[in-house]
Amino acid sequence: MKKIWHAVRTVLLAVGKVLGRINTTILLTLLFYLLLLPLSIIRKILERGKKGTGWIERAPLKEGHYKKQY
Amino acid sequence: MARVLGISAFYHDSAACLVENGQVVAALQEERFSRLKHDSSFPSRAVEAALRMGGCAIDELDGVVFYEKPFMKLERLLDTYVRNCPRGLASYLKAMPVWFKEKLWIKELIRRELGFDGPILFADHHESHAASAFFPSPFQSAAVLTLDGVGEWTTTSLGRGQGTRIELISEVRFPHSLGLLYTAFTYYLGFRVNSGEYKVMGLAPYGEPRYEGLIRDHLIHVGDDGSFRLDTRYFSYETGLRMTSRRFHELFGGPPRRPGSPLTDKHKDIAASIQKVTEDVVLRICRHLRRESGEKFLCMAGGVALNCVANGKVLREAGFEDLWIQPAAGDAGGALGAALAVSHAHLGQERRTGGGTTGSRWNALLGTSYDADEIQPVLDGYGAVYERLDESSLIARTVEALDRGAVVGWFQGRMEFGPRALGSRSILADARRPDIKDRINAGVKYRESFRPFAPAVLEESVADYFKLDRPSPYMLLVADVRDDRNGSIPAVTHVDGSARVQTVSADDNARFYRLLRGFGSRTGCPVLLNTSFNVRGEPIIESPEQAYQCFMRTGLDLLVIGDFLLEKEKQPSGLEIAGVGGVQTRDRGARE
Repeated sequence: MKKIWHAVRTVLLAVGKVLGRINTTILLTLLFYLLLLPLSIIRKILERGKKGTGWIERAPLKEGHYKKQY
Repeated sequence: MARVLGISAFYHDSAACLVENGQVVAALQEERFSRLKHDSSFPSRAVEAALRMGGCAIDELDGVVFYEKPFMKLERLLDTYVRNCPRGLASYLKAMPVWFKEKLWIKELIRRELGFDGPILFADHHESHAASAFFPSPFQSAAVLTLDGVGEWTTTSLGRGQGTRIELISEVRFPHSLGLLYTAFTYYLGFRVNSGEYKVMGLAPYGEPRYEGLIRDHLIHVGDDGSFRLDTRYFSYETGLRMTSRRFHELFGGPPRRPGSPLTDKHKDIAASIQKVTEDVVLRICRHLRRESGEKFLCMAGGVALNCVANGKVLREAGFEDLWIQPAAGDAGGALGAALAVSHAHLGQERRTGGGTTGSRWNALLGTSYDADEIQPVLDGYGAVYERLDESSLIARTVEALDRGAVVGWFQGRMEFGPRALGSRSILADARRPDIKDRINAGVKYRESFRPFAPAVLEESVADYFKLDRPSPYMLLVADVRDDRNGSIPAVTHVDGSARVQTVSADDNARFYRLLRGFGSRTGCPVLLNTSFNVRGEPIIESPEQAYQCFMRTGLDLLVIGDFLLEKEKQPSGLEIAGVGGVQTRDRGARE
């Protein structure tokens, strides 16, 4: 009985993994076209003609710099 | 007692570094333990070794610092996708799951992997590079230049170091990257990205820079102040899974070279062209930095700082009095820099220039070592035939073998930190023999015939052989062989008459120095060919076991490991040796 449950569990986990991959791909693709694409279009309109060049000044380190992940 | 552990991981060349009261105790790359070249995984074994060498438990650390800011890196990735949308879906679908599953939770991952409850800190990627360049340098005050593919946003930064502080003043941002430009050509020439860049550098002297104009006209615009801008339409690295775009291929008249296919004159000319452009841009940046900072000395780090041909030009032509480059200038050195930045700038630990006592030189031998009690059982376990000798006999026998033309595996003391073997995990040979280069390339290292070997020379004799007037202890400067020595050391003279010089002093590596001195006394030439103790596609060896495996599976004639000397012809025949020394090409240089 234990062996059967183990086999069922293994199969279910494998199926879950495949479904997870499909779901992830679908959700990320939706996000890409529904959120990133409109943002991209707006940005391209706003930034038309801008072309940054040369050295960019760096801001000095802020308090607690090393504690932050950003 | 303030102890900080630095970690670099999840891009390429993961590493760990332990700093105690501002002094580096140990620094190691994970690849040496995992045996995966450029391993990017969490450096568990490197951490374990560093803590063991420091005699320190994980709960005795005052902090663990990661070498970059993960949220800023994600911001750059998302921004890039937004800018390029609807292009980039394939890259986005590949990168995002990894970020959401792993890279976004680095703090938790470090806690889990190390079982550490104390502070987890984060340094900026280029700040880590800058700290790795300036803090171990011999200078109290210096200009700092970092150049690599990309960190969070920054690809190039200019700054200044003074005492225990570093300030990065200005930068060039992604997608404009000199490192990625060079890597794009590495890809186009059929070499592995983030790994084969030094092959492009080695190939360049065989060609003519016929494509320099094409590169300047179409790919990169460089200002007089060294700032630069790439035409991103020629590249795919922003959104694709490749480095170059179809437009790039049309510009250079064909698709990328297939790995392993013959190298033509065109490939050599392209390599020469990108090398020339890179040298010019680096030189312009350095001249600008010299003018702006007013500093006399320069410290450099980042992957581009491993371009030793460009470094030689900077030293000669940029106007700085001296140049210092940290030997692990790539991402592995980020672990070192992050730990030093936190140690000095955050915890206020005193800095002693040179990383040791005041005035002494930084030593790159920061890895594991093995004593006779650890080496002998390994040799016995293999049934190896060896002799145990005192140092003078060991050196005399090795010198004699080198003079006879033997290729020697040399395993001594602490392992090097960084990509260069500096006389601890080295393959050595007589630099005067014209045939030895082809013999080592074909029969020992199994690598491309065009690749040059570097000379190790006694520090006091460097000016007798090379057009170089100062030490180059980390093999990071290229200089021409003197005209009157032309032809005297053919095994280490590149096709254009240059050599990637390593100078050796007794302070750097006492036994290696004595070997060179012994060879010089016997032959009148204190120069040896020095290349890393590994074969193509594998990391440099770490342990006595790996040394013996490599010795038995390659064309090495002699192995000198600690006080033990082994001759190939005396080893038992029919011995089955598995492991290090086979031609493996597993390479986990990860991409985002």
